[in-house]
Amino acid sequence: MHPAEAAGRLSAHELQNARLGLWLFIVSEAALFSAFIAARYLNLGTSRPEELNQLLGLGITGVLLLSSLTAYRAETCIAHGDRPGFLRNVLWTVLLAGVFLVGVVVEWGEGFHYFPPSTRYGTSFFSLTGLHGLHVLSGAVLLLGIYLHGRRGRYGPGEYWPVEGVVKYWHFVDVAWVFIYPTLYLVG
Amino acid sequence: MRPDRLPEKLSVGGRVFGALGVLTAVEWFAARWPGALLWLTLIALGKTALIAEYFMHYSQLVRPEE
Amino acid sequence: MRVTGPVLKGLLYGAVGYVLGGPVLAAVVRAAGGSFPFDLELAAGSVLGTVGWLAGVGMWDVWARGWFGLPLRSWPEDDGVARYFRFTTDHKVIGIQYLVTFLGLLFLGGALAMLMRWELMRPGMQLLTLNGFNQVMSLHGIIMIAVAVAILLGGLGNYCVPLMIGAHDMAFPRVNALSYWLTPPVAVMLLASLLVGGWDSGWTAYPPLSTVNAPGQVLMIVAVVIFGLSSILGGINFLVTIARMRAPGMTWGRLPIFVWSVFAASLLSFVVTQYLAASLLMVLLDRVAGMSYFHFARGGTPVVYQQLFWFYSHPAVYIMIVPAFGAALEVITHFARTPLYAYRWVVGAFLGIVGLSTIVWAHHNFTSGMPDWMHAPMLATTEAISVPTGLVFLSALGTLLRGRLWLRTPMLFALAWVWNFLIGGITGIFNADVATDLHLHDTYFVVAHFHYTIMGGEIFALLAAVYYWYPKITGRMYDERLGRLHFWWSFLAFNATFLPMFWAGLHGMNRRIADYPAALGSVNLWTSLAAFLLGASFLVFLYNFVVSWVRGPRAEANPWQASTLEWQVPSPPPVENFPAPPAVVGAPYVYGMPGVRHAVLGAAGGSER
Ligand SMILES: [Cu+2]
Repeated sequence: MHPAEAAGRLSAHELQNARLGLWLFIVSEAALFSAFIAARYLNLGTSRPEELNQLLGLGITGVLLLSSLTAYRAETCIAHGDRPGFLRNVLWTVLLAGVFLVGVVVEWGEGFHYFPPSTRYGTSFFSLTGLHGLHVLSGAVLLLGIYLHGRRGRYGPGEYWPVEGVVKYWHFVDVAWVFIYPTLYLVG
Repeated sequence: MRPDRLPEKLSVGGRVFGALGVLTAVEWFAARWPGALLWLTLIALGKTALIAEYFMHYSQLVRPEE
Repeated sequence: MRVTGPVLKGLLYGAVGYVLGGPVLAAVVRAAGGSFPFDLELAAGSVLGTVGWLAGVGMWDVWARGWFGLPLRSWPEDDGVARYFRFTTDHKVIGIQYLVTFLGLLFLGGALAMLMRWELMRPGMQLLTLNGFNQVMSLHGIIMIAVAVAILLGGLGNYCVPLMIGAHDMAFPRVNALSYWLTPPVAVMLLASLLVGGWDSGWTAYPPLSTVNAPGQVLMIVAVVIFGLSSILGGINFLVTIARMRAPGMTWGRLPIFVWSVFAASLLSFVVTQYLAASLLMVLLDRVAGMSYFHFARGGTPVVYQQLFWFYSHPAVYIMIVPAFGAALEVITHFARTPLYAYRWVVGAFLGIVGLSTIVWAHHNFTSGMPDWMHAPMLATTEAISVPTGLVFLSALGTLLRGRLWLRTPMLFALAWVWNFLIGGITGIFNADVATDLHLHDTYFVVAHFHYTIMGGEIFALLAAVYYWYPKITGRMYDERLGRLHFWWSFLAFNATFLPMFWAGLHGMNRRIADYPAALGSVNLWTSLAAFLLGASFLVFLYNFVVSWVRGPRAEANPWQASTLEWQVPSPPPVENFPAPPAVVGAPYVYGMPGVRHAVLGAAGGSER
């Protein structure tokens, strides 16, 4: 192990390695989502039940977009040495993630009633929202982790790769929803 | 990275968020246009491009200085 | 304890994880009045068991503690044989771990094949039950698929790529260790599946059968998904390593061809493997969450599984075979003592294969009832792949024609690769053509075809590469006479086993069956006897491999007088490989060019040239 790594800091070269590695991981994850999205179209075309709660769908979409903004602000703040701004924005992001998950749970409750997992639409609905929800949950845990580390004084300008990585992952979770939302709620 | 550029950077984020909001609104209506699947795909790709470039700093991969 | 401690701890934590995630969780949910199917118990238990195993084997100490702000613990880098039994980050240790583990699995899969051939020796049932045969056949298939995916990339790729590009290690050493340590649970789960009824749907796990068969199927699914994660992480690691860890002067055009082949295979595997995971996860969801992806009674569409599954599993054959191309060409160019013929065309061919192999998947579905309009395009794209593979072939032939051949064991196996893969490639055309495939689908013709490509192609190239790099990896020389014996024995037995299978398939011998009409008795008897000989030939290899490692004569740094970087350091190379990054100044294969060099090593370099 290299000294810089042992101290939790990355050299410029290692930082670029880490960035490229994370991007490739994100591309790979995108392929996983694309397979489930493809299965939706292959199994049932663009058909969609009338009972979907459109307002709720649009609402949680907005919440997730907003959480991307707060995540962006958190990363930008720590890059410029504004620790209080960083902590505030991370906390907001976690909060919005929580709101999103509550929205999904409510939607699941309605879904079990109108289009349970054994139906064709329910199959795609529950697996796509479930897979995405797991990513939201893991993203929220990671965000909470960098919040706790940040409160203890870790990270600062030029040494915030964990923040950058978690935030990138969080944006990816948002991008996945950018495709899942129209696939489940809008087409058809 | 000078601290005085922070408000400027943060306002970029605000504008990107605004653009994403507008695209989401357009999406809502595009679902009823003919050829909806194509329009929805294009809009989703547009949103992805915005997020990847401005939020995820895609160009860092080619220009590390960003 | 120093040696076995981490593995024992891993087993203990793994067992605790399994019990907590499986039986205990199930009991809690059931006590609360919920339902918790046994399938879910198996799946959740194995996932948590894998996490426990990883933590125990050292990932907690050397990595995960840091996530919680705790100081990391580390082991001494140079700790003899104990390094191989813990979460070690040195790419050379990991390469050997992969190589030995998957050679072990290769022998296990081979033993299962012997069992099948015993059963198939005569018409009627001799040894196994019908269901037992299905389980053996399925287990043989999946184990060999795992071996074929991981042994070259994980074993020799890990060991050689950083050395060949002049790097001190992989880009992400700890992720690399994670990739390896994910694989033992995979093997355990596949074998443990036999305790819960095994599974009888073959390595392809086609629904609707796989949505309703014995719970062993669940363990197979979890195992394959975890194996997929391992190969995705490995692929990303290779891509970043090759893109960003090259020594000064090591331009893309100076990369040894094996490095290019690992790069191309990784480019495929890190994306398409997710489709395998997705298709199997859908089967799992049908089983544990009552979903209707493929479950027929609930209105699922089994053909969709075949589309998603083959979107991975066709490219997978190139994840297996492209590194084999690279390894075989590497050996051929060094032992023909001439630069690789048409280097640039081969690189282009590798990248062409990467692109083309993602648009040919449905040639596996000509008889499965997919839409008719997909037949012609899939036929055309599949046959188009013969253009880049043909280029690889021509490069091998051109190099052989221009060189002076040095017929040592590695070269003999590389030449066998040329022959075997030629037959495998040509017979592929009949499977790609819709008209002939309708007749050949699911017969032994297909079995013979893919064994010629994967065993005759990949495994023979692997053997060439293992003999070639053996002195570098072990620091010992293998026994050349035994090597040649292994070569002639296995080459002849291989062809004797699989050539007649084409005939059997043409005459209606179905694959994956335990019994057959008496008229096919003699060809099956011959095949079985030849297969036993083929199996026995590997004992020569095993003996040579093990005994030479212990007692073989010490190897020099560069016994083949090869030009690439891994041969310019001692055998085996020291930790961190190079005292200083080497300066690469020319093409990789500088044979017959006096005064031209590939690289200049630092003053403290270990070259003995
Ligand atoms: Cu194929």
